[in-house]
Amino acid sequence: MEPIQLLLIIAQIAIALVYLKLTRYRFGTVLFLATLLLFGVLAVYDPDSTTVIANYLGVERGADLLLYATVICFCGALVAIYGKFRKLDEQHTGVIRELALLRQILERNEDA
Amino acid sequence: MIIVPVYNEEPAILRRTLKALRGAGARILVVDDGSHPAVEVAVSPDVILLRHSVNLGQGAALETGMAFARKDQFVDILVHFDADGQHFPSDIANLLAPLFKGEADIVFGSRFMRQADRLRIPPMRRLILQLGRIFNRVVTSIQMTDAHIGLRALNRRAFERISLRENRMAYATELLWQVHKHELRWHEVPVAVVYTPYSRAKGQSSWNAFTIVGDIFLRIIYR
Repeated sequence: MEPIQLLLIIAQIAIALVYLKLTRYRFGTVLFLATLLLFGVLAVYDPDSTTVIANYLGVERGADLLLYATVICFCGALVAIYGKFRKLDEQHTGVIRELALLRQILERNEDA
Repeated sequence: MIIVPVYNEEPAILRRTLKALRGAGARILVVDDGSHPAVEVAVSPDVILLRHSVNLGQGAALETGMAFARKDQFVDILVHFDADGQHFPSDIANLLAPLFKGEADIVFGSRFMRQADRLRIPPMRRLILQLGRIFNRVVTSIQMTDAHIGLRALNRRAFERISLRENRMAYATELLWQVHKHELRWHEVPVAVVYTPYSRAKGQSSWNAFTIVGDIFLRIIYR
């Protein structure tokens, strides 16, 4: 095994562990990550194996298949993160609104 | 109650707007949308000030005003009124008439119902507004003569059902969506709008239309 392969595998495992901890080891996430990790490690350890899957799917090279998968995963992550951002933005608006209403009550009571 | 959303408004213009509105005989709710420096108005039983800690946008300021009104059982009618001196307080009576007659739950001002009002609008802005009107028709199924005007009046039935989630200018389209969704009776009345160099500099740029369209598409995707 080449040093870069070792580094990539360690990086994949580390990212998976951090993500698992963040999502509190939910069963669905564990299963999804384990599958993804298995394919990831396989692709790094034996790059030619991706070509077999690529050919099966009608893609000539395994590297191309990985590129397509990466782009789709990236776009999916972007959509999901933006959805969370919007939710946070709405919560932030709600807090600012509550604060404005509460401040008015406080100021009114102080004046009284 | 008249809601006046304010963001970095020229103090003299704001004072003039509030002075003119005091003559309307209604309570005024100023919502300072995170202005720098903060808005200074003389608070009294008839003038209430709410302050956003940070700037959120006109839609958010109006929603804050409506949230305040929902909790006040004595508020039967709300009027949205821009702070930049574009609107005439004398038009408020026209807005309220269909509400008092029980013909509508929400009444929108329109700059396109009278030839004289239409001609006051700068040509480019007129074109953008007409495109906005068509866009609103497509996404909300409501066909109006005007789009994105800040002058409107709502009865309690309307402001208890309408809840704006769009913080910025796309709220005007979202509001129509909700009018359609809650089957609110709507009406349009002619109003005049004065375009001064100040109000044109302060108001929306024509490019903002693209932002509004983008915000609406995102709202459709992330409902």
